Amino acid sequence: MNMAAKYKKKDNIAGRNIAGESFLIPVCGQPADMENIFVLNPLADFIWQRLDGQQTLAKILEAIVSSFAVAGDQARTDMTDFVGQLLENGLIEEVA
Amino acid sequence: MSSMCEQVTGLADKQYWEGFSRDLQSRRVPFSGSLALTHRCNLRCVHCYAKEYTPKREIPEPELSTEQWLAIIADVKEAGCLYLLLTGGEPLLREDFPEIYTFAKRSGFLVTVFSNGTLVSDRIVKLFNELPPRLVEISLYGAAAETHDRITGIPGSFTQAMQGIKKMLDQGIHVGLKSVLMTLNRDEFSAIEDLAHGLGVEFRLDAAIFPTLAGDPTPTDLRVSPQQAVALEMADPERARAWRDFYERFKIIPSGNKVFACNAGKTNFHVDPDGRLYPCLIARSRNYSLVQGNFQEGWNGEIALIREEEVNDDYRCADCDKKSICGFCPGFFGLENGQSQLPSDYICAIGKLRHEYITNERCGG
Repeated sequence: MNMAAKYKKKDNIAGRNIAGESFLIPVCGQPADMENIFVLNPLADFIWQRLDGQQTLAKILEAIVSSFAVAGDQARTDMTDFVGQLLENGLIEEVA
Repeated sequence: MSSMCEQVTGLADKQYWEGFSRDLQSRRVPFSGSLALTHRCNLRCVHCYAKEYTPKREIPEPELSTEQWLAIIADVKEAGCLYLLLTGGEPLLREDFPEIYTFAKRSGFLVTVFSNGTLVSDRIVKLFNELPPRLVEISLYGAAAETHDRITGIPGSFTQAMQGIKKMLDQGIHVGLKSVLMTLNRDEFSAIEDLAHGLGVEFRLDAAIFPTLAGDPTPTDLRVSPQQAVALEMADPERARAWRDFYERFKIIPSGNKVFACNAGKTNFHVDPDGRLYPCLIARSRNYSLVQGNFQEGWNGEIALIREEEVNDDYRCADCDKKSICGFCPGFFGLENGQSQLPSDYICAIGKLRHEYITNERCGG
């Protein structure tokens, strides 16, 4: 994954924080998809908050390493896995 | 997705949602709310609980503006609401329904709409197609136009509702049907259910007619007898099984010393067209004007007080083992008898009959 890339959230999903839990709620798409709610763990939520089209993946990784007790390699794997899954589900897009 | 991000909807995740719900209840998070955008309606249903508001009213009931509704939706989002019901009256009568609905959807709510189905224009279908609701639930009171129109008081309303339902189904929009059982439609109730099944949509039965929100008991004249209501419910094997399973799971509701054992004012709330916040649609003993203050003030102040109301020593429902299946609702009792601790004899009779049916069936294997 290109660490210089920037991604932003698409408008087909809304992030919600409810009672300390972080959810991704579908906004549009197929009616059947409206039931596909995702709950994010704290690291995923941390990344999600930073997918704002401004920060590169490298910068997000840096922030993860300085905020979580996780080794750089593991953090990179977790982040790229998560970003890959968001891309696969069509929830984010790369910013030129 | 990976353990960083898990899908939590559907039966497989029941455990997650049950745990989360317990957390929400203990923290009193307003997770589920209904907004009656208007009490105006283009129909004149004989059993309507809001009917004082609709016909021949010289001064229309004050209604919140678009901006006021959007501010309330933003507030309840902040407070933790996820499930939002847009209802009425007929919510599609509001010109700004698309704006309010779009705002709610884009804010990340799971939105359900209650409608009579007669005003489902192409514009509304397009809106629901672009931003799919969790469910659009349409009230249908007869399988034949004559019956439905007699109950709604408006000739042609059945045909219009069926057209609306079909237009939405053609676009794959999630539609459900519900009906209220009453003397005027009891003979064709199974036909209404068949109609729903024929359309391939879910069907929900409501056996309890209650007095109007203003206290007029006239709609209760339309109730079928408890015997007829329970016989009809249990005639459907699936529904009968659901009742048995429900009773097995929830038969022991801790008696406790609080009147409201439900989620009213705990995780549920309701807002009327004039901006008054209630613990739920039916419990009307306490309210707070969201025109005068904000949601958090009302929720943590006046509405919280309903959770503190304690039962009297002679409260008949306190230790009743049928409380989970009778339709127990202190708000309902308040509307029917003027007191939240004075049970409805009708509800009580239904509870006893359901219990009889469930336990007999179980004994019979």
